[in-house]
Amino acid sequence: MYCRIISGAVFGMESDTVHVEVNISDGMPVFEMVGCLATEVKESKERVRTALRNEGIFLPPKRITVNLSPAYRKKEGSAFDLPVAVGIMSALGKLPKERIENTMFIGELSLNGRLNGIKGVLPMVAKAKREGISRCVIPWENALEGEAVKGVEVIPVSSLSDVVSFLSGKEIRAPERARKNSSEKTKDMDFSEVRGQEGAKRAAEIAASGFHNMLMIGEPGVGKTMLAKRITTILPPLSAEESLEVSTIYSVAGLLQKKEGIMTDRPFINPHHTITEQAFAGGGRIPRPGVVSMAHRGVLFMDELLEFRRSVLEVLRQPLEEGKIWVTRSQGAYLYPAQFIFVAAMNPCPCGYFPDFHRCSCTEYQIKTYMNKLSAPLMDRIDICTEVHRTGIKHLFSDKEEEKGKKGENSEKIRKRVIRTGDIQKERYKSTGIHYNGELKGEDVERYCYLEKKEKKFLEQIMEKWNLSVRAYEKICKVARTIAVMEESEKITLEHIGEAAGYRLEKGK
Amino acid sequence: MDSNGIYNNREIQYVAKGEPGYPKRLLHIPSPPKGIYYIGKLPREEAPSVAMVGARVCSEYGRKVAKTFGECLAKKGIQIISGMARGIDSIGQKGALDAGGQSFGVLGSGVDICYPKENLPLYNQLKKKGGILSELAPKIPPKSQHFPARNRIISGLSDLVLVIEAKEKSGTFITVDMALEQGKDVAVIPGRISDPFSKGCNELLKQGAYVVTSPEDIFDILSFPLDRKTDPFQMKEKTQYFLENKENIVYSCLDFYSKNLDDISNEVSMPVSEVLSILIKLELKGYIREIAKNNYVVNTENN
Ligand SMILES: [Zn+2]
Repeated sequence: MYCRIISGAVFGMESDTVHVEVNISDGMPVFEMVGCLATEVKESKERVRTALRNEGIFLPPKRITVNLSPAYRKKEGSAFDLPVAVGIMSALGKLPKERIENTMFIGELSLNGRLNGIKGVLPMVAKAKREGISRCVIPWENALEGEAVKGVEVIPVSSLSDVVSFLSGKEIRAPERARKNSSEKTKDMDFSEVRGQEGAKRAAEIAASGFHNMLMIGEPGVGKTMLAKRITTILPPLSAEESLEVSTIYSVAGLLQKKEGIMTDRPFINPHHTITEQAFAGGGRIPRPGVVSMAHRGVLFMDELLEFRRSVLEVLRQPLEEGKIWVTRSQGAYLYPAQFIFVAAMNPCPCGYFPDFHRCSCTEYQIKTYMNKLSAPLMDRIDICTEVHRTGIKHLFSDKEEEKGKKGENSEKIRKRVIRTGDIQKERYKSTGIHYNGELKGEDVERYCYLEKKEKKFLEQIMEKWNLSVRAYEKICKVARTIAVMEESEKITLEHIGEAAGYRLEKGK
Repeated sequence: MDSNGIYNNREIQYVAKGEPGYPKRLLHIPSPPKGIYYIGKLPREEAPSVAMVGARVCSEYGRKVAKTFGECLAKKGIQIISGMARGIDSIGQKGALDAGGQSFGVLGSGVDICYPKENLPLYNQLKKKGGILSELAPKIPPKSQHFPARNRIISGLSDLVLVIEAKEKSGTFITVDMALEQGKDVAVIPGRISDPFSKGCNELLKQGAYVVTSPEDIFDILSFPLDRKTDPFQMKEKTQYFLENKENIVYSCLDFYSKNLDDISNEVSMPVSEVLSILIKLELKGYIREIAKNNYVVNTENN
């Protein structure tokens, strides 16, 4: 009485098939599970035993051995409950064997036989498809993400009795499907809601066009977060491939079932400054991607940048340099993708109100010390710096009469331009591994941001005036390149360099 | 050990109250210092002297005024007394020295200590072309409790105290109170009523201080021979600069009060992208300065 069931597991971002073997033989009545299992997998025994009993199936007084292979990989999570239960029923001859073949089973059982949602369904189903498995039986809660994988039959079930019905060839009664209209969330957010702030909005468009990292400086409560959130609405939509990539991260983190099956919108993540290093980078006993990976292909916004722990800011280095992050644990290291537009915000001075001298009395020295808290490696990765200020009636005798009532451009219009600049960059960097100007480094900057004599001289003047570093030089070049692309100009002009320099972060001497 | 200025620092001299050379002006103030340590010279008795006081953090307007008054007064032979502090103090003193005049710094520490450190060039210039003074013995570090006593020497050595910029309820008022107690004239530069840096000045004017709108006004108060000249505050005609038309338009909309990129762009009706590249050009040429990210003022050094 032997049976072998296909199941799956996620190791970091990778998923793999796991085989669940069940053997029932005569001997002392024991139920044992082997195969390099974590505690929660061993506990599966009790859930399976009780769920089966509530299904009317009592375990016979025999020796039941369950083995999960391959044995060399540590198995974690509760996704094996279902395959173990199915394996036992099958070994007891209660299920037709042919229906079990070439089918993947994943899901966690409650004691009453209900099937609970699990993490990582998307990559596991995708793996099943790659392995040529024809059917996947998954928890109902994960239906949408499972069905996002095309070319494999997905059978969402809500209880163990559903599984039994299905395997006996009966119809499963389908519960109501609550498929939400995707991208509903971002539709109620638009760039036109940001009044004024023309400078900052322009900076945001440049950042979105070339995937440049950006810093906003401004007093508290002037709409830095509002602006940052709307950057996702002007970025090009995720490609099918990117969408699957992002969804996989969310699936592994167990956050996908709350979303709409598969992620079609670029994520916007804004961690609070009290966040721990682990939550930020990823990890934990059962490894899961951190905040930097949740922001993959989207925007990571860090308000009050200087308030974050130093160790957290330190974590940012690798993603900003390489677009991914290694999370090391005792069992090994996991690589998670983490490529995002980094958008940060900070106050202009310790009190927050410089240069509004009605409220700010910080000295030049205090302001300088405050700005110097930005670490050099972080500064090096920020291409664009802009100011966000109070709009509307500044004070009684302000030169401006009142807030300009005019609405800005809407996201759709800006997004069209951003997509266009993205396409030009794609063409330019075809088969180089580079996608956007923001990714250019070192030699690439020289190659792709060629300056003619006059322009080079102008930039050298700028370098000299503010005593700027080589890194600052490269950043101005990259941003100028993006501005040129935005204007569909092959040549980088004096104006492009001037504007890029106006958005530089380095204040210089 | 400090009675006769016997120090390994040979520059430092000491004059006790009652000895010849002790500044006579100090004899007439309440609680005159027991003696004065100094490097360089002491203010001349016969030359008029003016104390320049104001905020450490000041506006571009304040810088401009301090610099111009420092220069104009010094050119007329008026000695500028101040505390060598950041902001108005040091700008006025530097103006006086650059114009070839005399200036004296009264410290809230020993005369051998330069505070704040960034004023070292000024400190060295004062040693050569004017003087550094203190009633505190050498090596005594600057402490906040020293400053009110130091301020009484500043006003004590002066015939007139000129307040350039002062915020509401600022430390400048303490100096002004001391000057009045010593019977000195107090003159004030008026400002815009909405300007935080001028709130204190305008308050003093309401209380009856002299209004000063040009260096000549000070000569008047000091009954100094008059020689009226052109207004030193007139901004140079924009057309005097070799600026391109658009640069001219942007430059014309800036002044001593900072304006942000959006406001400039609105005023000149040009898109921010264009304005930003023009601003960089103007900055490169030294006509303007970026005081905070994307906030610009006319550069006083150049105007
Ligand atoms: Zn402040």
